[in-house]
Amino acid sequence: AEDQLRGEGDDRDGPAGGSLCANPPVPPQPHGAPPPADLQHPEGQEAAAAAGTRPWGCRRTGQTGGPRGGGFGSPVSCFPLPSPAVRGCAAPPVLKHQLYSLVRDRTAVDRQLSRLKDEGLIRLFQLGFDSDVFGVAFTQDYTAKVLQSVAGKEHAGTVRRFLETAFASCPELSYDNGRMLRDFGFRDPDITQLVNAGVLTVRDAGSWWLAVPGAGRFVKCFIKGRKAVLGMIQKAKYKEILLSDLQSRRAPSAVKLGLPYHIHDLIGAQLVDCIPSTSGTLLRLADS
Amino acid sequence: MLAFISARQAGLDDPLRLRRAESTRRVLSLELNKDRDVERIHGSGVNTLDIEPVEGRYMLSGGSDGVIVLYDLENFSRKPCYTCKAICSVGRSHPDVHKFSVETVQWYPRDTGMFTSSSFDKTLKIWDTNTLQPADVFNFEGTVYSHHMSPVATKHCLIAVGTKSPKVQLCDLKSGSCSQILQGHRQEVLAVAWSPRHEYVLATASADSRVKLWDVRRASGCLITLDQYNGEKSKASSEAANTAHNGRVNGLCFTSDGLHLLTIGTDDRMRLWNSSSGENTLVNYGKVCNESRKGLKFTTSTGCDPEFAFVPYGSTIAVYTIYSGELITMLRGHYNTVDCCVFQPNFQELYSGSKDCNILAWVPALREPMPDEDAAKQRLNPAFEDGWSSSDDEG
Repeated sequence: AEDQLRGEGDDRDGPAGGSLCANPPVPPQPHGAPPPADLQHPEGQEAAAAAGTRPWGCRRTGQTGGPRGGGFGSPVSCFPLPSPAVRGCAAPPVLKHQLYSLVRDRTAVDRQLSRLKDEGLIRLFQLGFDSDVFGVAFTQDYTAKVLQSVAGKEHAGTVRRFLETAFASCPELSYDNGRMLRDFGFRDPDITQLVNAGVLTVRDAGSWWLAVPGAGRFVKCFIKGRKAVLGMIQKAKYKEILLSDLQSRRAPSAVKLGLPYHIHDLIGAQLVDCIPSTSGTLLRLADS
Repeated sequence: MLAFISARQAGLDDPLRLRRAESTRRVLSLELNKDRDVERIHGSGVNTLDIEPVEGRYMLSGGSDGVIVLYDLENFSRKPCYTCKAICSVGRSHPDVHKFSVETVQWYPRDTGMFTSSSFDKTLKIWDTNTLQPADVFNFEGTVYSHHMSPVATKHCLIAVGTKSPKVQLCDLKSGSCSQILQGHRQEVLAVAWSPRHEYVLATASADSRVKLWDVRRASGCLITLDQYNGEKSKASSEAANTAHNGRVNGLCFTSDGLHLLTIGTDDRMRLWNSSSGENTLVNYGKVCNESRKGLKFTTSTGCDPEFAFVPYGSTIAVYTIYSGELITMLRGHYNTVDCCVFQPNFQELYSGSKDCNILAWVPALREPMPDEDAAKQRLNPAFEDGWSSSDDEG
């Protein structure tokens, strides 16, 4: 699973000859929910083979005319400086349910993610718009991003102290008042500074989620983009559209994060059903 | 198949292996069959089905109009085309019929002489099958959502009843009293299930998002409250601590060996729990749509190698492998919401009842017959043979 997160980012390397993608022959698809053959990715266990693969095989045309900063960057490229084409919308982090669209076995994804989290290699954080949706990032990328966004501001010192003590020692999603005060010696004004910096968001009275700076702007772009892509499917006849057709369409202006990003999001969150058909995969709007 | 048979014959394989492989193959090929039908008696939605555990021959169904029907599933007609006939029924004209919808029916686990039914008219009735008269009636203060009697109990005859009240009632068949209650839930109890492994262990699911495991011999309280985050306080908001689901918990089913428990909730999730430690095994089934306001009756297979769960999903039935969370197939055939399904383990058949008043039988698809050349020639009817010969000699 770790290599998948890295491997997805190879599109940043430019249109170089492209590593061969070893898409395994697809077993006969049962009816219903499993992800389509062209989105399929070898199981997380085959991490070696995973290094060269990326969504939709080797097709370089998979990227639409979205911004270079968008789409599936590796977590390193997930947080680059925002490109001028995208106003106020930083490059997007990977969401946990997007991984379900890449790897067919959801249970394996969950188990490997929690193993990586326990080893401290990745962190999950809240984005703020739904308590079920988590972002995933490598620990060093997260730290780099936070320090970069906070550099030069007055609360940089507190944030650095937080990253070194509380963040590093417990691989959890939330922090509560008692622990912060007792174990790590943060006082209320310090916690307010952390919230202002965007590193913590409020969960309840006295407890906070781990968050990422700039999450607000990202969530705004994300929700608009998601609604726009869902709207594209909704306006289609019978509310269904071939995946290849959707990828080749021009993204509406509301979609700033790139069409592939939103497609993975919709499939992973099961807002659309993937139905295998003779002309490729069909995406149909889910009923409820 | 031939490899399995010869390995069993030579003693290389355990006899159980052939049975399990063939059962699994049959479950994977479940489909609607034009030769098999269940007679349509109900005039309104079928809420519950139960097949008796002794022979697997008789099936009870309970409907939204209070009618209970008894079917014979066995095919003695020597023809492949067979309709499961209704032997008898407790219809609207019966003096003791339930006044409102029947929510749960269950055969007495030891023999078919008795069955129990509970309904929205706040009663639980114990019926004598031969005379079709109620032998006993238990009255409650709230509507009864579900009841269950332990399939393995030898030392007690308790029926656990889940009603609108947060207290779970235990009715004793031997004495006729229902004085024992289990306290702990805060809202109505939507589903109850006894463990098929331990005769005193009971699981209850409630609208307050909690699932509790009880030992009925213990007076103090529940054994375990299932927690979907396995004790990690950080994952959810603090109100969601110690909950099994993020919504009402609608359905409960133990796996056939009793080691795991499946729960389903209105947050569109199904979870698999280790029934002895209460730990969430974190198997991810994806979105399991659940819009039912009352209980959802789903079932698991018995005797197959990856065990399967059959879950009513809108107007279809979703088949999942239990331990890996994979969606195998969706069985389509009903016209309206499917309410209940039940598995016949001897023939690997699935019966499902839905709001469209039909009970459908899902039967394993037959193997294609091997083409046989001699048989093809014999099948030619002499009326179709022509007088022309293929030889040039004869005129």
